[in-house]
Amino acid sequence: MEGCVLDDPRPENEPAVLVFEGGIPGFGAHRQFLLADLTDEGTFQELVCVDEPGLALVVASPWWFFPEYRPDLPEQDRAELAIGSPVDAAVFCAVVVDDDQLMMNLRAPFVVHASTHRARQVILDEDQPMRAPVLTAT
Amino acid sequence: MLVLTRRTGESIVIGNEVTVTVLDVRGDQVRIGIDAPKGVQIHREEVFRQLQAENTAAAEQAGRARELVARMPRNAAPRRRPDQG
Repeated sequence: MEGCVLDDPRPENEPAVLVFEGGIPGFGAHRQFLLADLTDEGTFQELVCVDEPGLALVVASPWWFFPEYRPDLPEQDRAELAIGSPVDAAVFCAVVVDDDQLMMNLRAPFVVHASTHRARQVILDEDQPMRAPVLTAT
Repeated sequence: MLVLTRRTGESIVIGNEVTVTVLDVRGDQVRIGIDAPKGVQIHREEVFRQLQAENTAAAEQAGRARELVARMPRNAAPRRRPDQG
């Protein structure tokens, strides 16, 4: 029997390092990315390449803006990330600017195993837009 | 490009771990089965290329996105908090 030694949790505010074993399409061979808060209230984060900090994407949880979003994680991705149930998964989507309008990529969400921090950009089988306008309360 | 001719039910092997099988041919459509290790991501090319372009655009415009985000009013997200852990 192995013991159960408890350790300090990750210090507060230290960004998590996500490991994309399969890389991110368009981002070459980079595998490790930090997820850092971009805004105080935590709506937007930034996915920053560990090896090349100039390479970054703005991301956000899709459910801030698309509460009806219910992506069905393909079996292959689920197995690869070892996601047993939805509570294991953290999800965020890339934000792109189109004519000064923020758009969100709902077709290819980033899915992270909340404990292991293994991550993948998943291409959903369902027909979701790669650019969905982010409507903000005014 | 290597070009091979295969019949329905026949396969090709790529490397040691990837097998591609022609399952069915009907008109101009071909059904293909792929056996590959879990870590190998398999996508329809046009969707994958589109995603590459989207990610590249998002990275190029990250600075602009930061500016727009910074200008958003606080609590601009119109809905409740994310419902995932």
